[in-house]
Amino acid sequence: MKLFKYELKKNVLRLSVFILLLALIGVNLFKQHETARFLGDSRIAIGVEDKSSLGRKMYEEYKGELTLQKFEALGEYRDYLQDYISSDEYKPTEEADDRFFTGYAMGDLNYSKETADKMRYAYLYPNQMIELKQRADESIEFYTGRSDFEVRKNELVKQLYTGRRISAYGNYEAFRLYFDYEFSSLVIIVMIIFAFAASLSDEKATGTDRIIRSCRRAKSVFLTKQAVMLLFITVLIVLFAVMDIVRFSSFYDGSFINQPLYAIEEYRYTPLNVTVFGAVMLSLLGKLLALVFIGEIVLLISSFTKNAGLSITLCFAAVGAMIIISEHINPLFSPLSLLNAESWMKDFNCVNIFGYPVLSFIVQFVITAALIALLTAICYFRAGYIRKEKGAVQ
Amino acid sequence: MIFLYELKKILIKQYSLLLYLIVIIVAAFSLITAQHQTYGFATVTERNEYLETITPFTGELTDEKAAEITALKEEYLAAKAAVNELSNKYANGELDDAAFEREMAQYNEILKREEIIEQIFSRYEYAAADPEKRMLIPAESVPVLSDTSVNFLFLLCITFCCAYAVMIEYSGKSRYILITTKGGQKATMAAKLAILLLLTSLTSIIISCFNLVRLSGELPLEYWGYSLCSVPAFDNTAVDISIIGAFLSAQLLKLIGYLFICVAAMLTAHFTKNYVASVFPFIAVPVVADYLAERDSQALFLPTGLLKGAGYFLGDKADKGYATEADTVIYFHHIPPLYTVIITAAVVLFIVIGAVILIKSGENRLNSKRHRVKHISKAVVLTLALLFCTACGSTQQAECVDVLSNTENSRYSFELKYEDEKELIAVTDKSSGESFIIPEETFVDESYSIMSIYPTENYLYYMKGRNSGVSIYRIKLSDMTREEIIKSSDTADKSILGLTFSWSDTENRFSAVRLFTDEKNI
Repeated sequence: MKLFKYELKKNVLRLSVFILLLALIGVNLFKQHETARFLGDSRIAIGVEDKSSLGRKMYEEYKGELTLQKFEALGEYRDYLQDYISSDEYKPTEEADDRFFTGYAMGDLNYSKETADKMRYAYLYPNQMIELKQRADESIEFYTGRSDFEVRKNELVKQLYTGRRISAYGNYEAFRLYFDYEFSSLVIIVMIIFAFAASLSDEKATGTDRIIRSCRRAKSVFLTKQAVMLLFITVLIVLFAVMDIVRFSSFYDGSFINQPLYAIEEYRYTPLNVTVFGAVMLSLLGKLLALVFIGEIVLLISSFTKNAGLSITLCFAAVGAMIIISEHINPLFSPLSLLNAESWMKDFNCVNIFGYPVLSFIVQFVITAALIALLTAICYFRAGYIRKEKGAVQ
Repeated sequence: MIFLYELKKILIKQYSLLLYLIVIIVAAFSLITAQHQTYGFATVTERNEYLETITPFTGELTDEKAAEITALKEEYLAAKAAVNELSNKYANGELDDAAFEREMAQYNEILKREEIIEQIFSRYEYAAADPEKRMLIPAESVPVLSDTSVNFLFLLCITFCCAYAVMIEYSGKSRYILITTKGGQKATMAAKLAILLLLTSLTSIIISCFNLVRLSGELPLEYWGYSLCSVPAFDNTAVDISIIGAFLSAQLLKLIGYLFICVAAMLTAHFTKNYVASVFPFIAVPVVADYLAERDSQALFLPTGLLKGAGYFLGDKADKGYATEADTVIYFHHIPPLYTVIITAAVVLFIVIGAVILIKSGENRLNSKRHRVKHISKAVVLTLALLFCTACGSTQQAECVDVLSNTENSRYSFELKYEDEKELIAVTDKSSGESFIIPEETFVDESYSIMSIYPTENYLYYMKGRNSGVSIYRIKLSDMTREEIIKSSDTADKSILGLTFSWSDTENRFSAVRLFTDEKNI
């Protein structure tokens, strides 16, 4: 425990780490604002008080549980608007009219169509799944005798997509943005490099590693360092996830966190039968795996050189190389692709493993975990190897 | 003598020569991998025909040129209307096959040039929107000119080499020996500084030369003297400058930016004697800032904005309002030219002062007030780290494949029939006579329809999509298993930890109407 505390103090509990963290949190707040403002649907944004947030009142009126009454009320309102606009009474004006949600009859007519489309998506989602099931049945029939894998895959599809329904109409912009938001991950990578890239290099440069080896603590120090890194990454992931969700929810309605993930229209074909909250948890697990993998690489690089400058440069170069490589290889073998939850949660993808379909993201998780274990083993045995080679005091 | 010794030490012993060479080789390699100018056409024949047609219209837009282009467009529209009419008559049985083909033949020539005419008219419309400033050029985008990305490999190389050159003296304690000698006080640091500044400048100039070669490939030489706003990416530019002038200025700004990093890294290393402080901020902050400010311009107001060169020549970029003009959101504000001059002058001044401080550092080391200086320097480093932000984003080319076109059915062992309305492919095995229908993909995008089918000996390829986005599937004929082999989205693709600009080059985005394959290329 003493060792853990010492490593924690040496690597993480430093003034410079906190100053950098605060600076990056400030930068992240700016980026969150920019993301929410430009990449979200600002018409229903809470935090935006200009003309672009016209749809907010109408959304407030119809959000919540999906009922036939709401559909009918919206339909009647649209009929009224159409009659009104085609009548002589209607005169286009720049002045906002309190009778209308958006302030304008034409605005209400246009926005009510979008609202109706979104409500229709939620209401008719089970029908879409029935069609999907029918297509899966057709495929099963077609592939029977031709390809066992395809048969099993379509059976898995039937199993995953049966019994789905959406009970509420809501705005999921906060979560859609969160799942696609990568800046926090970048900030965490920068923090990992800052805290750990010079960690082993400095020990080498100052000769501390020799003292550690002479006490036969090289491996335990290394493992402790890894435990500290894991804790550091976990805390940062949770901290930034909470910040991201709270910040995006301050712009958009975040109250539908208990709805299923497929309630977000872009995630209609997600293979995950979990709530939005569950998906957030899974996204954290994906990020944790990807960032621990990066952390292991940082420690490995750091263990090779006593020049901290070179170590930092190589760490940035390695992360850059991984980003470039990940764009050209199968995402299954790219741990970095787990950083963006949207890329692995959104669609149904599976891998053929001995004729059995396994969901791609599960394979991705397993491969990343295996790579982490491999890197840890290399580092662990390397720590022992150094001890022997250098002829430390036995 | 000291200069030669330092030259050998920095270039050979500290591997700077190797690192800078790697940067140059990678930059040279990017010449090969960079996408070629397509002018929006998939084939060389179409491209040549387009250039041949548009060349007489290029340059200043005159009434005669405008009239000719409008006439060309009208001729095409008239032909299109006539063909529609003929098709209706043919469908109604008013024309037989022979008459239909005879009548159609007269319009074939102009209809074949549909995309060329549309492209020329699009270029004309852009120039005609502001004929006094804009000239008509054949290219819609010149990626190398509007490239606002930072060369991170070069940045890594500069930061490491510069910090290392100074830090090595302290870590090896040789600095303390050097300052006891007359030459060591100033000459050593002056030599280091001169070598690194020269090396950085030389590399930056070589990279600029590579970019110049790219520019010549993307825009013919005769258009280089045209005004910058003739290129759509710079439509609202506040700078009255030629295309080549803007290119050279952007390269100069980048050079100044790199020299700034060079001096700042050496200065920080000298004051802090700490690798983390002298390397980390100069790599981390531009990386974070590059992502942070991909859509906005605030960070271009800061020193490392110079690393993005062309960002200073961009005009305002806006998302048009969905209801009224008042709803328009300007997400990228242009940098006033005066500010560009001020920031450049300030950075040059910093480089000069920094160089002087570094050269005189030998004397400062003997100064008793150095402990106070140490704390101030730390504050300077942290302030720099907080301030270093840059704007704009890097344009990213979409994946592109060679697209050939043909359809052939008879020489294969399978007979294909595409049932249009149901989006199904009916297959008959010629040898056994067995017929079956390949079902749709389970997760079908209803907005996509089958555009082309192509069979090979072992596979059946088919393409689904709409105008701007396609997916190509491959069915293995032995067991009819299907896989999606190419997907081209109609929205900007996103890479991990990096977004593309919404207003980036879209000319090279993959789209196709037919597919053909030899199983190696599609």
